[in-house]
Amino acid sequence: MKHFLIRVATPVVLIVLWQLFADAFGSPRMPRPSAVVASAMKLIGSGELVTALVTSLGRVFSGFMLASAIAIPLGILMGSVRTVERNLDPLVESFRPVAAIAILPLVILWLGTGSMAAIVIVAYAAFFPILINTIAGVKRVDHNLLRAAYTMGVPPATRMWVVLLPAALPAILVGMRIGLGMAWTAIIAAELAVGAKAGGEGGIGQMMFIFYAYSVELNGIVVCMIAVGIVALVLDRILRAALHAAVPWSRL
Amino acid sequence: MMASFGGALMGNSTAPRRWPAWAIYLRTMGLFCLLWYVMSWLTPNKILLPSPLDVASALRDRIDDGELVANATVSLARLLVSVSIASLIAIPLGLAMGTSRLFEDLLEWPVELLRPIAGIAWIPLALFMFGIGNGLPIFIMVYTAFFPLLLGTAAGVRNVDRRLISAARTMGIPKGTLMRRVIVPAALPSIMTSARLAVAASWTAVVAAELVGAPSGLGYAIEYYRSMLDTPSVMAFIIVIGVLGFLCDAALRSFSAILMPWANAEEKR
Amino acid sequence: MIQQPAPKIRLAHVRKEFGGTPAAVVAVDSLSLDIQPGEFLAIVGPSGCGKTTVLNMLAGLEPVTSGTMTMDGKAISGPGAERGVMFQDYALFPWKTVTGNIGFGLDHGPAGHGLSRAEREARVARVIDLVGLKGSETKYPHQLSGGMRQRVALARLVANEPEILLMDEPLAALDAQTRIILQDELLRIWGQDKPTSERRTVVYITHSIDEAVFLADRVVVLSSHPGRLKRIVDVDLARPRNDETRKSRSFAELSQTIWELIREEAYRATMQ
Repeated sequence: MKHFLIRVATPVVLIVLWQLFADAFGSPRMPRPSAVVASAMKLIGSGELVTALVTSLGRVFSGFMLASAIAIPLGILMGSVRTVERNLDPLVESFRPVAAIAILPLVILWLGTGSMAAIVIVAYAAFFPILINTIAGVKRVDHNLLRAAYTMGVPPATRMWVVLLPAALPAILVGMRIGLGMAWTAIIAAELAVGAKAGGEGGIGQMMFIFYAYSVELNGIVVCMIAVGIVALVLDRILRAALHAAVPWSRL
Repeated sequence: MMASFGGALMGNSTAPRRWPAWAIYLRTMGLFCLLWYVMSWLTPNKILLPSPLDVASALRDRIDDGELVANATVSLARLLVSVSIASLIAIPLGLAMGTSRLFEDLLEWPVELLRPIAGIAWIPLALFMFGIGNGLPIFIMVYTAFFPLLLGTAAGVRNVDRRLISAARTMGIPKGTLMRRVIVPAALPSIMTSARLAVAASWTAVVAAELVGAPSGLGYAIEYYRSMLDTPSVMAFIIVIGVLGFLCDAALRSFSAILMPWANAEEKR
Repeated sequence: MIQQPAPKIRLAHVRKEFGGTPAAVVAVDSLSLDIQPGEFLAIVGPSGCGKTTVLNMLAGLEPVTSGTMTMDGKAISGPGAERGVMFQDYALFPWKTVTGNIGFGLDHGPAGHGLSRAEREARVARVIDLVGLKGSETKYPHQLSGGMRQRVALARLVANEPEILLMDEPLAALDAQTRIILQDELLRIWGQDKPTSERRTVVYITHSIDEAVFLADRVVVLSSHPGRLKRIVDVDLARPRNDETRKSRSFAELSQTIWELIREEAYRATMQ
């Protein structure tokens, strides 16, 4: 009980200290909890916050689906057929250290600053965790499970569907969870960077940048940051719950 | 194909002779470059897709005029500084969190509340606090590296095999020595894994931070050359970012292996 | 002496090497053996004697390097549902319930060909009853105890109605008490109360000499490095076997005989 109290108290104390510090020493523009709350209510009330979040989330989901549609089948192929893995691995390992944000200028060059570019960036960001975890999951499938099916006379194609896939599923889902997290970070980064130039529509990253560069609304920025954090948390929890529901036996 | 599928599933008892890894690397990347060359040849607009040769010559130009080395050095220096600062704060705190219930109670919620807010999301606010310059990327990178290091260290400490600790205590080993000689070495694999994650995350963050808020560095360079429509240079710098990121990770991996010869790191990358 | 019918499985000078020349490791050397239909054959030996390799070859998971291995006169060239295998760690599918696991071979393999859905379900239910898992049909492997998992693996094997049951140390992962109980269960399920003609052929690998003597009709003793046939010991203890058997003098003598065959090699393996 004591532990719980300390845990709850710490953030509360920090927030109070923040407010006191800002009121006592901070410039009028410095963000503080009271103003942040006010700003939040305004932004939610006007619907701006929700619209921006929805725009960003829409891009994230599109990109994420795109990435999964390619990464999962490819990962299964690479995990099962060693030759394919050995030959494609150089490509994967060469591009993996290049963050999505680094290819943003290139993608903008090719696709402009609209949603299409954002989706491609998000897909690129989500692709590698999903691929790598899928490959690892397929490779880690207990060989005895496949042998058991083999000895029962189950043909190879069937073995892939009824043994390999379900056995690799926990790892695939973990990859998707990590990929979704990276996708969310990527969209914020992309929208921020694009917002720094003219053009681009909506999205929470852009809203943040506008608050910085145009309306100088620091409390608004903090509201956006908190929203970014909450969404990240929620997405992660949703996928964890999905994992537990879909693969209750796994210890992942 | 089915045979090797079955082979991969069943395990080969007699494997055919194989090309070494570096040869396969060259072959695959060579084919990739060939494909790239063909595609760029088919694309009339050279700004859209320059050929590999254009990129190679842009690379050479940027080395010659010093831009490459200068910007790379700047970014790497920021990486080194940031990860060092983050480690100096996060690792001791992580050790404290892992061993002391009080520290865990104090730190857990603030950490859990701040962590989902990506380092990159701090950029606008940080721009206000630091302006454009060195401070911004370093702040963002320290923040980004901090959480994996803190949580990885704490988890590493918590996951130390209780029996090792029991064994040491039954030998009468005092607390300070216990920490230095048992807990830290046992937690080291986890700490190094999270260090690799932290470095990778920071390397991404540096590019994002420099793209938006710094007058130097690789991130700044990509954006600069894009605004000049100098696509070959943009691509050259992207390659450099990738290569340096890979090298940093490889360096950490070797360092890990030297530091901990006992840890059979099961690569979960 | 009962007139012996034709052997179910015949091994003739079977040799197994791993790795190409020149560094080939000979796992099994010139093993010749006849396995009779309906018999319970145990294979024991010190570590490295190739017991599991022999089983894998019988299962068709590994090819023989030289020599012949035939079942009903035909060479064994790959796995098949007529030779069911039970693996040491059970290899249960974690995402399937008890029913799903047991019915797997029927649902996806040749063992279920020609059976309607109702017939398959009926067979699975019968087998669940046989191994004593009634009431656990909808549980998942991670919710079961070791002994229960072992019975699921056995049930899965039996449901496919193979002619041969190949078992690789199935009770190794269990504690001693559960082991004894499951040995009794195994004999019951195998049909030790029934006449020989109605029993299935079992090839059973184990490290435990007591277990081998208790369960088997004959015990094959292999020597190691490389694996060679040392002796085949006839176990003429009366069936049905039970705790009384374990207390009997012949049981102790047989166990001792076999132990003395292995002892020296086992000592060397442990101490060096």
